[in-house]
Amino acid sequence: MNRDAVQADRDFNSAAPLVEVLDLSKRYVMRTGFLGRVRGEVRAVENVSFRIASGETLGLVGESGSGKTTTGRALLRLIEPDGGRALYSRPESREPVDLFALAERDLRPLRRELQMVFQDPTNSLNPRRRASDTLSEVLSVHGIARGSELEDRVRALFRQVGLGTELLHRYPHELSGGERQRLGIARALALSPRLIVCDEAVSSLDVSIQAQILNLLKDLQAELGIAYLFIAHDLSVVRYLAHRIAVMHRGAIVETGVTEQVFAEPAHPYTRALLAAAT
Amino acid sequence: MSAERHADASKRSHTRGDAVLLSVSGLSTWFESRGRTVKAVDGLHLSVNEGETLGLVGESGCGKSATALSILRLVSPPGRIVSGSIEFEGRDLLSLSDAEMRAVRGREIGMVFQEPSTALNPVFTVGEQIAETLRYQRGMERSAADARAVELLEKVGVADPSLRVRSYPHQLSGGERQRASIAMAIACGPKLLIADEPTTALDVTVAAAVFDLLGRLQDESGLGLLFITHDLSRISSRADRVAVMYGGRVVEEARTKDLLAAPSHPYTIGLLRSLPKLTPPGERLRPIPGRVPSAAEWPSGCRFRTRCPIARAECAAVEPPLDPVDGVGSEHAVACLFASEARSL
Repeated sequence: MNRDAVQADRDFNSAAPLVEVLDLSKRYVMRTGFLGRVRGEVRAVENVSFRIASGETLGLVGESGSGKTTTGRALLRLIEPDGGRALYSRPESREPVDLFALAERDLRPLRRELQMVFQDPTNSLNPRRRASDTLSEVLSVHGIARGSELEDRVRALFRQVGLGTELLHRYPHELSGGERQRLGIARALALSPRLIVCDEAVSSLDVSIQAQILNLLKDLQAELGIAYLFIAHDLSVVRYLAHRIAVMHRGAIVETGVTEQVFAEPAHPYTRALLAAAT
Repeated sequence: MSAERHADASKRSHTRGDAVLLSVSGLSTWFESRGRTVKAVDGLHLSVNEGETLGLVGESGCGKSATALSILRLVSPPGRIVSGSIEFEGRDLLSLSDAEMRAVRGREIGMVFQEPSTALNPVFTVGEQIAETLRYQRGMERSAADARAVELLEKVGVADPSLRVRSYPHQLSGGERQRASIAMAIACGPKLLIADEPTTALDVTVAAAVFDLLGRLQDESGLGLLFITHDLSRISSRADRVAVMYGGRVVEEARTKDLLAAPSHPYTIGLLRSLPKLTPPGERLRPIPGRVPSAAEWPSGCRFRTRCPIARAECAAVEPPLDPVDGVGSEHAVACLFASEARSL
């Protein structure tokens, strides 16, 4: 392990985690035919545990069907987990709260702190709303800004994600893929989140644009101390961004560790196969 | 790992003839729509030698897929091939009749696409589809064609080929479907295989296996491979030569090791610096600024100049030709007026 890696490990393991997920499980029931009889169940994720510190990036890698997207969505309760706990520590409260145990009403105020950036920004942006309106809506709904302050905030967010203000009044289809993803990131940032789940956030972008977005995510983290759960199938992308990585295979985490160490000395046979295939 | 594959590529080179298999010159394919002319391919030159792999690399909208369709003469209106020549084994494909071209497609040039489901018909079994190709193109008897379909599936590494031959495409996994579409593409023993992002939709371990399969087929039958991809880092360990496309043209072409060691076009350099895989841990990516302009409004002169760190006034006036880098006869060619400067970027 090199010095940076040792340092990263020490930094993030000594700190109290921002989120600690314990034994997350999610099953999907398969139904059949007109009567919808239960035919069986698929264990998408089983007993998955991990922790993420403030300002840290945990890379979640694995192939399609490994359960990484389910894990990310269950953490934010975009899908309901079947079991486990997600202990979320807020500086405002002494005890961590269990995100999985909260009623929807109690979860709502926490949602702004836990954001998501999706793979294809086209599907997550309202096609009939201009770029500036996408952001001002989020800001006003959550009562963060109004009036002229609202406009200033929107412009500041545009600057923060490297979007020119000439794009303020464009519709999503008038933006390029990279610009749309910047807008998706701006929307997540609007609420000053502590954690962003990035699900294949750069996977559909061209190489040169992907590099721009990766650097943007890195800079935002350095500036704002946001933690990322960075879900991706591309190992080189994860290696660039993640301090630690967790490798998923068939619904379970088979290996986790400091990124450079996992790349240098993969312990699990599946990790070794994945690394070999990626070169 | 990548070093081993480099060694493999050079080992293969002694079995590779230097005869030119495919030669494309001055190709322009335009699409007219709503009064605008989208110049998807515009003055493209490339060649593929017998038995070699040429990696055709570029980002979305650079014209790489339109190039593949043009070579196969599958461009449909409002697109059309405006000018240029496409020579395959010395024959000009653009002067062939439709019937002659149909015989070339499949029999002499095979195709593999990104999404195998689009190449396979969902209502026929994979065996029926491979056998049909053989009967139509080779005039084989039904029983012989059926037997050959099983052999082909075995050759491309589908497990239980005599069973799988009766499977419908949806009953196969993504990797098996791609193998089946490769089996169909090589059924008639083509000399050239055009593969357009054949591994992009597949998981990494499956993609690696498909890469290995293509390499093996090439070793066995001396197939020339035009491998179209957006991923320079993936192709770099497998291609003999690489051609980098930007704005409907090839802007740099070289032996793979030369391209990686001494990239000479500012776009190639920017592309390499955008790749996390080729960036040492701890170092920052240096992306290309801006975005690709629309193919309906390329800038004058050099099409990369609006994003280029060393562009000057001359770049707007002159369309830089694809010239050899180190004098005549060099296999390394670049389309940049200031390539020597670019290399010290």
